[in-house]
Amino acid sequence: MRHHKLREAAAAYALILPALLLFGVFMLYPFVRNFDLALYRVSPYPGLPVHWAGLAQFTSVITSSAFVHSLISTLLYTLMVVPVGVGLGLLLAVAAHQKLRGIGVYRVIFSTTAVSSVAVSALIFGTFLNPVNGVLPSLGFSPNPPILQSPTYALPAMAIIGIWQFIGLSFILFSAALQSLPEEVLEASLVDGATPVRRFWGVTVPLLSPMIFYVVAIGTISALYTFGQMDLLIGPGASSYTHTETLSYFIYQAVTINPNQGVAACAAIALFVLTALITFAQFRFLEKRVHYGA
Amino acid sequence: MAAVTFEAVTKKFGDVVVLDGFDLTVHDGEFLVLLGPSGCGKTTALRTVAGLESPTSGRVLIDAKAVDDIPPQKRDVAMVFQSYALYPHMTVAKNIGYPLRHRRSNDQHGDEARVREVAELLGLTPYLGRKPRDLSGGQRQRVALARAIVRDPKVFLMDEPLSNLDASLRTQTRGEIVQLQRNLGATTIYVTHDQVEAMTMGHRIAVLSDGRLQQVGTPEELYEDPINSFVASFIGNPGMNLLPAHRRDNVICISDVAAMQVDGHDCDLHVGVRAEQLALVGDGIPASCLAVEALGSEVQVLVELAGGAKAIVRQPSTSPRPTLGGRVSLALTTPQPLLFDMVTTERIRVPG
Repeated sequence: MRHHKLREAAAAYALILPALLLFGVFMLYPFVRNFDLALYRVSPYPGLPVHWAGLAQFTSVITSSAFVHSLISTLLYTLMVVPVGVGLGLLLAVAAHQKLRGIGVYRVIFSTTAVSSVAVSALIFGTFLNPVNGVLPSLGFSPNPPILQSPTYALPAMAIIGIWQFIGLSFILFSAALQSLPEEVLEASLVDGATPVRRFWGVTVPLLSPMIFYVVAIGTISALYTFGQMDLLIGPGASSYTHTETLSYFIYQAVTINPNQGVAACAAIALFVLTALITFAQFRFLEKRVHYGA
Repeated sequence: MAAVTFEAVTKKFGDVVVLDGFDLTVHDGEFLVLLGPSGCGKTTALRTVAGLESPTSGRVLIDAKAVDDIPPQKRDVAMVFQSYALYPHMTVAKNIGYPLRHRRSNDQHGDEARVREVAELLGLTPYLGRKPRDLSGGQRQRVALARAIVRDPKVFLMDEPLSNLDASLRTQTRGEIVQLQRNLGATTIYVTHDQVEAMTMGHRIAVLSDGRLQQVGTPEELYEDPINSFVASFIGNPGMNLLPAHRRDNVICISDVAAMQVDGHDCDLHVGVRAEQLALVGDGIPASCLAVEALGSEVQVLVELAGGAKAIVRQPSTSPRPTLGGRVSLALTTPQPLLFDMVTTERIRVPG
């Protein structure tokens, strides 16, 4: 009996071993190692000695003006992308939920942005905004400095790309949620005298609130980690750089451009803590307003 | 309160005709039951009154006014849904008060008093602060009723409101809904597939089959005087037995046994008899016994005639019981059974 149980346990461990190995090597070890790395000043060239820096390195990273700028940029970017992306995604999903002829075509169009990569969308918008041969200048609109170089407009331009991409996902998720709403409850509100607008705010939105919360949470996390637009459209040479650099890009440049892996590790920890705090706050304050069904 | 009229209402979903030239007037203050098997179009008819479906052709009138262009929220009708359709995020009080919030007048105190009054009427006062998920099925059903009656609508629409309740609660609530309707004097259209509900609740019953209105009448009229064999077999528990027969030279034979004499042309027909109008006797129409069900004071015997037609015989439990699979003989105990044309299913009226 005992022998049999042992064998069963061994088989179970054997089955989860591949997943455990992958998780350990690619997730757990780097995560733990990152904390260790944050305590050292690492030379840009392999083989040279590392120096103990302690917590002082962390303090100096998070108080540096470059870090604070990138923190502000990241938060601003998130504040622009998430509410607009959630709102527009919901609006489009409601529009596409109407029983109209040919609505399927619109559903496909609205959801395509979710499957296009950030590189593709950055390329499209880059072409659109290109100050020399882009679409915008050909329409007679050529601001100086060009939009992606402008300290004022470069971050909103990045946010528009982020919103454009996020709408696809939020549209798909809201469409699915709308289709699973209890039809009779929505009909009941019409018979009870609610206009379509009051029905939307009084019944549809509360019924969708679990999905709204979910989309806000994952949208926030992905916005906090934005990297692609910054890397592909702006980069370290741009005059808008300090106004657009995101935290992910700060980490990246601390490894490649201005290498000190210790600094990158400190910024990564800060980003991790920031994400955890914001997500926790969302659960603490937003989830109270979520109505999970009967 | 108001009368509701269906004028040649036809509803198609694609090529499927769900409602076919439906004509009916529901009188002011009447409790009318739409009865029929599932898929017969009764719920669709109800939804055209609510404005949740619009007729493909024909029109619906409330208070002699066509409502085709009026959206559901302006029709002033109330509906109780099969699933109750309560708002899961609102308390019982908010659910009941919801229809009041959309009216022109903004009398919040009056509204609250009205909600309390209706809650009191339906025994919901202790639950006003609860959410629907914390209520039992019967309580949810009452909240749905309360939400419907709270604003004195012109018409009540009920779509199988009892089908999700267990048997004993269903019987109790049935009585309560009837009582409520009689007290409020509210025009009510009630959809069900359960003929017992229809017989016990409605002033009149409209029987539908395949999107067509078969017959409208009081429960007694439908039971005593069905217009065709569908209504005959659908109304009553059990429904009327339809025994295949033929008429030759004015003599009607069931399973080649001469049963009665009715003048008319030669044809195939169904002889309609209620279970209590049949008896097991020594000599009559041959049949075999398939099942015996004891119901207490009575016994129901299911028999099969030659040719495969089945019939139910109801007799006092004191009568001798046939053995399962054994031979029995049937006799008609009524001198004037109903006759139905086998092809058209229409009733064959016997003069005199």
